[in-house]
Amino acid sequence: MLEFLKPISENHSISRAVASVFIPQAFLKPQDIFEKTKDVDGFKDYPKKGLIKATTINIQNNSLGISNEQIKGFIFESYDGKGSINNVFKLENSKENQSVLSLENRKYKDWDTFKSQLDSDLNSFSEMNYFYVEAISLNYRDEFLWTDRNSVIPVADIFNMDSELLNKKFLSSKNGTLVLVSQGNEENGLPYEEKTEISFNNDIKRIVIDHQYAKRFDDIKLFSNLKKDIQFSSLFNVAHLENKKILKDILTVDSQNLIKLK
Amino acid sequence: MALLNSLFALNPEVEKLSFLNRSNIEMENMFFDEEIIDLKHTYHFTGVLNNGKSDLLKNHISDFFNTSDNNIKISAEVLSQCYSFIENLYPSVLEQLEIDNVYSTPYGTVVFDWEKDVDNAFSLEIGAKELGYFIEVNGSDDKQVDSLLLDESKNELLQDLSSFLSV
Repeated sequence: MLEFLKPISENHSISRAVASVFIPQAFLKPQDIFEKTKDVDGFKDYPKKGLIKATTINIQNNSLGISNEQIKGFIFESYDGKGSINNVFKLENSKENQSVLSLENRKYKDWDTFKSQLDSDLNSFSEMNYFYVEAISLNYRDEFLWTDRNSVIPVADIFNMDSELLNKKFLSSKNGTLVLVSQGNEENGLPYEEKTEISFNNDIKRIVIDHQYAKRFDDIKLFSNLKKDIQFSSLFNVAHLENKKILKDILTVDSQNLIKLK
Repeated sequence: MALLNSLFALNPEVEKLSFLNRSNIEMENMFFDEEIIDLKHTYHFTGVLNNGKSDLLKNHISDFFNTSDNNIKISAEVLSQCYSFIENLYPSVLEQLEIDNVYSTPYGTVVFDWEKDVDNAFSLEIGAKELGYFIEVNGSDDKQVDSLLLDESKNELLQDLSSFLSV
């Protein structure tokens, strides 16, 4: 029944994985950080390096205007052999008192490969910059295409109808989205935030499952101290497992098999 | 739902197509400060991350799909093609695209223009099945290609775009 269901990648459905580190301060001059970071040896696999500017939205006579002014961070890009985007390493001031350092991978291979890239990039960045960590988060976006334009996405064959996360209204929609956001405490007492978005759309024939899991440390910590005794990336293991748990819960066994979910 | 809408951007694929969600993005930003005494304010991290510009661009293009004006209306196929293109676009290339320079045509296609100045421009047109683009450098035509399939030619397109913008 799922002959037209195509995971976005050959072996899995992950269209992107993003690991983020929340830093409890904004950088005053991101261009200075960029200058001293861009030539670090560990970043030589990123051929493209540039600054990012804030996009501000103005209203002029009822129309949307966009202007680029202040520099708010930098972006490093790497590509695969065919020229498609592979990794994006980014520093971005997100609020007055917060910035986010992130690694986004668009050609996901496996968890270990992603983790080693993450450790390598964060270590390279920390060679030149001391920074504190307030929280970390992991975001997976899983995507499927329904390749037959003439038939309706068979929701009941793709999603597990018995999952407690899904409901009848959603499952019987033409286009449906469910968003669930929750906070709680992990076994070790650290607070977490989790956001799950499940959606399908019959206009553009896509199914998207977006999961983000963030955890906050009990106090802000110096990055170099956090990684003293452990691989920093192992702090993301819980988030990785939570993502698998969600997928196992909401997808039918047939869909799980299609993406080789274990 | 109203509680969630303005802080947590839904996946643009769905949010921007929803009739209930047609409020202007700029208005949401304007009134953001006033909504701050809200339950959602306790979520510090999951709302921060979004793909600002690509979401904005998808939102802009979905307006062409949702409009009833036949002069600028695009089909679901064109919308879907544009989404695929935007997702493949290099973040550095997206940075240099002005949202105002993306518009739909009476033929139901969508045009993306990157303009350095009047004599240097990259213009891409995306249709339901095919795409084409031309590059103008110093006032003369540098390259023109038509009737390409997105899946087959996206890497060549992206590399042309990237090298046009970095020269």
